[in-house]
Amino acid sequence: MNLFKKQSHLTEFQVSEYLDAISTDNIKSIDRRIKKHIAECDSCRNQIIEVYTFIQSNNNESSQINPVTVKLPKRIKLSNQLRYGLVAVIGVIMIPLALVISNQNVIDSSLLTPLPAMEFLVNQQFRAEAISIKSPVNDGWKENPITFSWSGHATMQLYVSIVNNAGETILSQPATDCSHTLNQDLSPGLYYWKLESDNDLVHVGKFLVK
Amino acid sequence: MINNSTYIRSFIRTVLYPENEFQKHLFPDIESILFSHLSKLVDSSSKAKRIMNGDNLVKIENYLQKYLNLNYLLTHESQIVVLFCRHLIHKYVSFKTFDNQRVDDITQDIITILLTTKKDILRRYGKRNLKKYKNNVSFLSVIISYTYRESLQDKKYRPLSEKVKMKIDSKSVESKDTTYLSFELDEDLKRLKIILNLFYQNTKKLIMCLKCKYKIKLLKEDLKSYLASAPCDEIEFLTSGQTSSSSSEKMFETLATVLNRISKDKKTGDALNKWTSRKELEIMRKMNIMHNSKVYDKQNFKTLLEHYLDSLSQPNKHIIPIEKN
Repeated sequence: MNLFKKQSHLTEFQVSEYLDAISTDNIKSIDRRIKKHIAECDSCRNQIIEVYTFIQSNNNESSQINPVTVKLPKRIKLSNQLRYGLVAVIGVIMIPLALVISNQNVIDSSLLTPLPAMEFLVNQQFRAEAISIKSPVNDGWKENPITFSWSGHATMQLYVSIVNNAGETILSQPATDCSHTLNQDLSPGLYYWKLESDNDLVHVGKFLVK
Repeated sequence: MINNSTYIRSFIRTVLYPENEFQKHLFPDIESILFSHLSKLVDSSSKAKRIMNGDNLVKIENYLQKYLNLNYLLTHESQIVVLFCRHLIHKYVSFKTFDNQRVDDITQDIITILLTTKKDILRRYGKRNLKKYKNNVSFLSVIISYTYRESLQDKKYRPLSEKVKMKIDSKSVESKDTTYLSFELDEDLKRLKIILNLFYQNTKKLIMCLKCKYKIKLLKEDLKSYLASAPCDEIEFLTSGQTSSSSSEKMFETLATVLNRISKDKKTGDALNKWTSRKELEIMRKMNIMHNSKVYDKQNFKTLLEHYLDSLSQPNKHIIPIEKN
């Protein structure tokens, strides 16, 4: 393992791992040699405290944004190529952006924001019920009325539940056989659907309603 | 044009680059930059165009996870990462630089260095399993910090510590004013713990020395590692509780004798006292840097140290103890 930089100081990776260990209160996980070096090196101790203070100050800061002007200093003679490169990168990025913004979808973006807690569950394998989902398999855009179907034999009564992207269960209906059509229309947005029995979760999927 | 643009933007901001890690005030345009980059990818590939304009969310998300995740961008498109980090760079430079007129120039220098000589480090970081890190902004801040130092070495900018020093002087508080301590005590105890842990194997020794310096009673627990090798009278003297009436010189002399027996050093009490004073100053300076104001003088530091030692004997009261080496 190449522990140190040429100047006998910690590398960026090591300092960042130490900072990560501070934030998770897990200094024990850090290599003994790194800790020993830090104890003996003023420069690395300063580096750690400076970056830690910077990160903390950002965490405490309100979300007020100061615009940044990026301009190339005149005195850098060697960077003409870089200057044009940077301008090209920004141009390539900003022009399609402008085109895309002009063609925005009309659905409010807040209705399409994924819910992290449900994202973890989508398409995971759950318990041993021998159920295979037939529809909707693509989790894509749907139109009312929405139908869910699956194959296989469930030993218990199954229910179809619909959760919106705010995490609210907006309906839960018993499924009578291997298919279920919602008896009410859903407004446009992102939804998660759950197939579950009284005791277990069988499947979680998601879909968008136009 | 991408049909699912609203959903894709939401996915970028909530799943790939969530707000709790990539805060809006540090990365205000990350979503736009990545979406524009995606548009470029889509324009150049008919397969990507089909996926992005189709109604298969799984395929869309897989594509986004593959081509817009931080690992991939650091490894293959590091210029995009540098681009969305430019506010973070600017913030770091503003935080460190004395001369405000130079902030834009130094920011640009750092961007230039990152785009050229640091590309390899970004690529190497991108090959790591980034999910195991709590916060990738730590790494980005560290690499910016190192690059900042390098840019200072090349140009004759004013030393970085000047600004911190100036801020501290302008905000200095009266040494007898300890009211500040009551407000942020818990936070400061955490900071002190972080600083003390930096001294690793010397942490316990340093605490003993600071106790001697401030005439705080040493406990047998403090000297646990030395009990076997030290004569009883030395241990008795150090832990007798008579420290307030004992001379500082004699305390340090005895402590040095006890420590030397284990470390095989020949440090005098005076050398140990001087070492303690240097570390004490360093801790106070670091505490003040973390506060961005001169809160800690010797008197306030002594009060904080007493609270800290108190918290060690009652772990649930404030913080968990320092790491056992």
